[in-house]
Amino acid sequence: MLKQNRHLTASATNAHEVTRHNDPRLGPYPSSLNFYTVPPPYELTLMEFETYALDRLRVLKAVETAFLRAKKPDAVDRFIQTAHDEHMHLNRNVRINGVGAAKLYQERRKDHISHFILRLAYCRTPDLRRWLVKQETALFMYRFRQEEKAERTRFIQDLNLDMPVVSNAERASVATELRFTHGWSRERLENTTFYRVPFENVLRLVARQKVFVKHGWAYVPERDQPVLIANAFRSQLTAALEATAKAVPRMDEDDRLIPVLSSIAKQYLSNTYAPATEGHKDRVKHNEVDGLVGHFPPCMRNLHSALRRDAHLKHVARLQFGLFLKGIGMPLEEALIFWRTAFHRMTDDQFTKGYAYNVRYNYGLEGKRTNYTPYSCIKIITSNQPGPTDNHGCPFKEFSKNDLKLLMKSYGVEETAMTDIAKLTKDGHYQVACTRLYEATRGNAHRLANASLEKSKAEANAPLVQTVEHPNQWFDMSRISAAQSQPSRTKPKNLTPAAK
Amino acid sequence: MPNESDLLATLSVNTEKEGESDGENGAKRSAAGSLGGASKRLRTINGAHETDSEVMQGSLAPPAPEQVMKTISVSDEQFLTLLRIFYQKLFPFADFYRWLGYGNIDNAYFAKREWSFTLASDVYIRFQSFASAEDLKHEILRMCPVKIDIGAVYNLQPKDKKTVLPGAFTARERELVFDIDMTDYDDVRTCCSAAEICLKCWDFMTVAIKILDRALRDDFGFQHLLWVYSGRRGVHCWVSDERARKLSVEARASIVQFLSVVVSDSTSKSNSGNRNNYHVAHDDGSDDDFVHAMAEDSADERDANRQTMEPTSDEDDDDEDEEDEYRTKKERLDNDDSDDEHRRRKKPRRPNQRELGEGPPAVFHASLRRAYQKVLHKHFTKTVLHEMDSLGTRERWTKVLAFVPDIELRSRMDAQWKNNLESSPEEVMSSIDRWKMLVKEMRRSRQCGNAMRDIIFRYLYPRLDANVSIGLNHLLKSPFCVHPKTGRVCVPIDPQKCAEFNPLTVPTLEGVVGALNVANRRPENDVRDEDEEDFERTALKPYMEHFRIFLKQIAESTKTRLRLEQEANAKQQQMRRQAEKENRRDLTF
Repeated sequence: MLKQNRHLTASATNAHEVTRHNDPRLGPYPSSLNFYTVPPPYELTLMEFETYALDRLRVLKAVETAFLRAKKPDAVDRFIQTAHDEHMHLNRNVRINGVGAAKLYQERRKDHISHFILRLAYCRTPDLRRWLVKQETALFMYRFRQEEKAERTRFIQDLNLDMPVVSNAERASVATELRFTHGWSRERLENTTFYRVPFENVLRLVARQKVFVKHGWAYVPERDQPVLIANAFRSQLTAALEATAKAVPRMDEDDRLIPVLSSIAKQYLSNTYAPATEGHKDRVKHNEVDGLVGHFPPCMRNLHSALRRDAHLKHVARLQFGLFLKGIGMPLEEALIFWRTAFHRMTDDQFTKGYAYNVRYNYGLEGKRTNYTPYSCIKIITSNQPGPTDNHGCPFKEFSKNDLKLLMKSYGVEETAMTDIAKLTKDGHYQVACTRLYEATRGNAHRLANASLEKSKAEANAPLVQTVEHPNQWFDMSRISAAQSQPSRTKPKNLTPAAK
Repeated sequence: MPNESDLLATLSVNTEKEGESDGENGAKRSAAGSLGGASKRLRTINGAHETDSEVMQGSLAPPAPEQVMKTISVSDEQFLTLLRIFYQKLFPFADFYRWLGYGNIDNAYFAKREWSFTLASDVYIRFQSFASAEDLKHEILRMCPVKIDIGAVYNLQPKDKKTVLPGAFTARERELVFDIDMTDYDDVRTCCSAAEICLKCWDFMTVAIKILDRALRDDFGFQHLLWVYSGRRGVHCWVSDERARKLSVEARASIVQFLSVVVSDSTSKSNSGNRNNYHVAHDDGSDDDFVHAMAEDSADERDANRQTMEPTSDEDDDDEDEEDEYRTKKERLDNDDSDDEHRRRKKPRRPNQRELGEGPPAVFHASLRRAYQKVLHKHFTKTVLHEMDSLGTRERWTKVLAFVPDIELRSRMDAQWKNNLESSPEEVMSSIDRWKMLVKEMRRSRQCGNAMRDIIFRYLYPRLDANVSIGLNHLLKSPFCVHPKTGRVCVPIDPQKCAEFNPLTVPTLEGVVGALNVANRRPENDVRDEDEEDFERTALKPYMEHFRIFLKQIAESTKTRLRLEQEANAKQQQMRRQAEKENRRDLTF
């Protein structure tokens, strides 16, 4: 069946057919690195199909977690290594005499096949595609870092990427600019090779002003070559996935693979928060919000108090908070009443004209008519940079040190956890910091709710495997653990995929 | 030439049409009633959702009267009448078609463009699209929108949006646009606030245009930039190159980030309350180039030039940038350890140290450096010190001093200036004197590496509204619109002459329509050249000419592109033929 993939990636040029002084026993895999331009032409059993895919998925998950939780680059690599060696071990070429070419070939074959299976499973929606591209690129770059320099150079040569070297004369003509951009001495500049590529190829460097650009060309120093490679990998995979997405419906598949593929794709989905809109038993009424604030994550608590303080919230803040409330089970009618009473300083007319639209919009009744889902942490952190007068955003990212301290105090965090969280925040690990805050305060929330806390605390003390990825996830976890300590109450539906 | 009565005739025809084609629109408009100004995205006409809006129907009441009055200076009726004449006779529809069609190389490029209108009744209509200039004109005359917005080019005509599934309708291309709004400068403006502007604070816009125009042309290689006055307190820029139009969202975000100043967190976080200050573009903490960037003397131009001189010696520096910066900074600190007096006598300025060969220059991105040397440096004295008088009162200088990292220096300056305020009028220092003093002191201080430059960037570097530039489907007000609140026409600004642009004297709706009336009434004007157009008889003339030059340049680029493509095609074909010939020859042998 995988043979069918061949035509799915139309732009495939065989990078591996380039002759090279390598072992013929390695077949199409002269390097441990692979740009996956050619689909694997093998027959394989359904069993293999599934295990290969799941093994790779485990590695990709580890990659994702590593970036979320590890603090330093080398910690990221160590984190990935553990999972990588367990599920997808890849020997480098230097080991060819030690472990034998056949083993190398098998490993690389598995790597190759599993990559293409995941392409099939993760090509369907833009979200899935984005996730796969991100993790695959990170995985590729991890392997790239692990590989020896000589192998890397050879691999890059074979890729034949379009990145012309800047001539000495040209480099000299922009020497001053280059030196100031990088803060380099003249000698260092003269010893550095620069590549000239369209600025679109190195957007990250452009955004950080880490590269000199002139007339649309970015002058990328040797040192940043991995950025170019990563970018090439990313764009190549993105394009291939889109092509696959278009081709899959025409694949004419029998019932063997589709269920496997969709279950593989769900593996990822189960880990993001999907709000249970239908059949949500706990409908939240407009007057119950204040009572639930204890379960709100810091970002929402912040918005809630801003709302109560100002009797107003700005646009993005309304979206962020409104959708969160929707996620915790507030129906449209209640939401309209909630916002109307919250904005008590304005007239009915002002509200109707300016804000009711917004509320209905959130529920998919206006504008694009999308039934919007609550914002995830990533979305809150990365989009809509708040201005000085805004209240939305992730407090860990937006607050000053002092304000964050106040916030943590309001949650009753102990001193040790506080420094820990402050450190995480400083290093930019906002979600991890939030998770730590949850871990640190979970006990306290119980103390307020129930005196017989010890038992549940023991349960709760098991470290969280999953990082907080969604404000509503925090809310649900908090509510569930509160309910557990109050056995009389009916248990709410288990909404924490994270707990698994 | 159509006259007033013709116009009225078309209008009445259109009103009839409205009944059938856009009944909902009409109903909405009358329901909405008057010109409430508060919010624009109030109602979109996007489908039947009467039932939903009924929820709040009970509280629907006409807006407060003062709101209505504020909306439009001339009375509404008169404004709309003038506007209709303006659209009829002056609005350059044909030129817009030339512009947004881009030669219509890509199939129906113009027709796939989203237009959106804000009607006088505050109804907001999105996803309109038109096949031709005539279509557009016809519809605009019919609706007489008080504001016209231009959106993205979609994969299909936006008016057909509802014929496909929601996911199948996507924005494909759009000009790279920038929106700079004076309200973002409120913390550094001392003359006006909010919606008001004056010539003094307009300088901030001039600086922004100068810097961004250069950056977009020199750094990114864009050629077709249209700068437009937004009608009240800001400017827009439409980068119309093909490459710019095809940029992805990520690319746009990166460009915006590139064009935003990085201000070190240390000062912004501690001094500006619980929010990061404006334009803290990088949040990953790794990008504090600015913190370590080079200290230098901005007070005189010579020094700025001097820093371009090459350092003579090097160090072995194979490490990462960050370490370099660290080392430079450390070295600087080490040097500073020597006796203050001695140090100053021996090495008066840090750039000189570098010239003497103590290491590579500190990081100062070429783009920022150019902005600093060519624009910011000159304008700071004029705009910030002289016109804004930003060190003029204690309240103002406190804001500036808050960016000085040396706390002891801060309070010393504050005390000194406060004392000075009480001295006789001729001895009271001006902002410029105070700045000179501060610069001198900062140069002496160990902690103020490049605080001076930071302050200059903070005050003057363009502040962009990032969301407008990033989102493909974001709408931006069309050039040559009339701003409903000021009555000013949104005319293009020539970036070469942006310093001379005066927002307070741009043509107004009343002005241009009045001038046209007067001119057309003069008997000697009855005979006109065949080519003469109405706008030539009004103050719009120079602006329209600038617009046409912009259009001409686009057309030339398009032509060049087509020619190159043709040549490439021809070459390819030729090569193919050659190859075939050779193949055949091989076969025959």
